[in-house]
Amino acid sequence: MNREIFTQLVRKELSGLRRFLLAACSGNGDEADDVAQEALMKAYVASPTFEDEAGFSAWLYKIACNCLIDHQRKLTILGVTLDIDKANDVAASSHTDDVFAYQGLYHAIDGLGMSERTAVLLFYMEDRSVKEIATMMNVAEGTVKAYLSRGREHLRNKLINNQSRQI
Amino acid sequence: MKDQELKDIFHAYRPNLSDEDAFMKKLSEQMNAVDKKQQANIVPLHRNYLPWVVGIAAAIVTVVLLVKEPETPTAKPYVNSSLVKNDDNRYSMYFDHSTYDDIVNEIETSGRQLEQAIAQL
Repeated sequence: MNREIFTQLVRKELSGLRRFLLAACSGNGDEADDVAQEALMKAYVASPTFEDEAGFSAWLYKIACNCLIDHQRKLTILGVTLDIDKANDVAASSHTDDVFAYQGLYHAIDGLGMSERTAVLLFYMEDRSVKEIATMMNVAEGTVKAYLSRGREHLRNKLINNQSRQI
Repeated sequence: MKDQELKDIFHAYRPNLSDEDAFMKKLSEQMNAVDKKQQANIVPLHRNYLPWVVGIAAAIVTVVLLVKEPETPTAKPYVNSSLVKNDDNRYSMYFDHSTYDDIVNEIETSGRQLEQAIAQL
């Protein structure tokens, strides 16, 4: 795959990939873009030997998931935690209510482990199938279903609690 | 809360990322840097082989110089041949102990006989 085709395919996937990483990084745009850049550069370096254009999306997300896990490990080693208040940046141009809504959602996501968070975001936000997520995360489909089940339970409790607090 | 409800929530709060062009520009710069780095790595790769090439060439030259070419036998000039008058080691075309004059006479006689034979024909 040459640079021109790679760039075209990246343009198609970029919006979804950045959105996924932004949510996975609890709304921290700088962190998300760092991971996205790292993932895209790794993909670009490997792209000359990758010819499966149809499988490009899954391949790119797989690289991004690995980069995300590495990034989280580095942050854990350094003792850095992602600041949920950074979610303000996501909707800086939106209404104040939207900002709180984003914060509420990201707060709910933030309580999930990285595997559950990745599976939930890919499934609910990016509309990926369980099979695709299994390929991206390099796990069995049953494992993805278990991640989704745990994630769904967690989000349900968190979001219902948030709603009841707002009322 | 059902799957569809969760999907609706996530879709409703999908952030709009408006700085895509700036991101792509930055990515393009990084790709250029990677391309340059890869090209730069190709040149030293050839340089890495240079000592090997020099070494192999030196070994070939050494082998060529050490292995001597066998000397070709030099032909003795005719003037130094054994057909020397009154020489004990002279070479005889017909028999031993014949002299240079004998050989010349023999040739002249044979020539005359041949001329006669031709004349008779």
